[in-house]
Amino acid sequence: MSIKLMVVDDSKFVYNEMEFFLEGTEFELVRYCKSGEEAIEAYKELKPDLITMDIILPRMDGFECAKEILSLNPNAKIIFISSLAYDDTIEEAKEMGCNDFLFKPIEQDSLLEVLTKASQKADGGEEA
Amino acid sequence: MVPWESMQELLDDVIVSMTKRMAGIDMERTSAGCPPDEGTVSALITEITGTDGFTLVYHADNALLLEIAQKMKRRPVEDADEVGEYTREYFNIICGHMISQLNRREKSSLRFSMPRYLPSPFYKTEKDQNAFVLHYQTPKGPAEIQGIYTNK
Repeated sequence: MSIKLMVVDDSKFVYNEMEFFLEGTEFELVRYCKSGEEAIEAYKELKPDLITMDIILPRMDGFECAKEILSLNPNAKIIFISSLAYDDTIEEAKEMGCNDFLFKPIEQDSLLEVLTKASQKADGGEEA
Repeated sequence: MVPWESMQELLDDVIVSMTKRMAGIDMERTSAGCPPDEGTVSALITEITGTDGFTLVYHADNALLLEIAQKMKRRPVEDADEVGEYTREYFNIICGHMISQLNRREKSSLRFSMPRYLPSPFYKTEKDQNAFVLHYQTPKGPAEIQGIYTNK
């Protein structure tokens, strides 16, 4: 059974890279959202197993969007992907309960490692 | 104020390594005299704010930007809008890495705006303005990046 992944990023580049890197793997891209608002609606509809989230998004940023999704499901598995490698940004993402952090441009090995790790965690946050 | 030398050194390192990594293109630093020609260049612009204020302007030959966009997309781009979309992300990643490293090194607290793409040159420098420019040559044409101190 495939693991459903939703990508939230206002850049097509990330989505294209994901499509390329995940082809033939157990991860299935179920939705590409260009804004936080779109992602919240799509989350309610699709309940994806994993979400990758950019931080800088038009209007609602990635942190706000993640908070909204975590309020709908505190066990939602969110991985931030950004070029912003500020220490305080990474800290904020961790405090929020996000599963991991990847830096752009993403690399296939790191992506698969992080997605696999997150998907193996049980809903309580522990590794299954 | 963040030292210009530190910013230039990091910018040079990041722009060369990220262009190679994202587009497979080698950028060779040239000492001067390689500005892109008017009429065949586009610009990517970001504003840096926080403990200091700068504008960064990246000018490149349209053939170079097209190549970067196509390498990032892994197939031909459809139109000029797509070139803008992909190269904005290219510059966004360069700025993200450069500012992150600069903040760590200089203990500064800088942020940058989402880059804008302009299908024409963007010249902002006043005669007495504090600015620097780095010139590059690539197999697909020239590029240059300019830093302009605006102090917010």
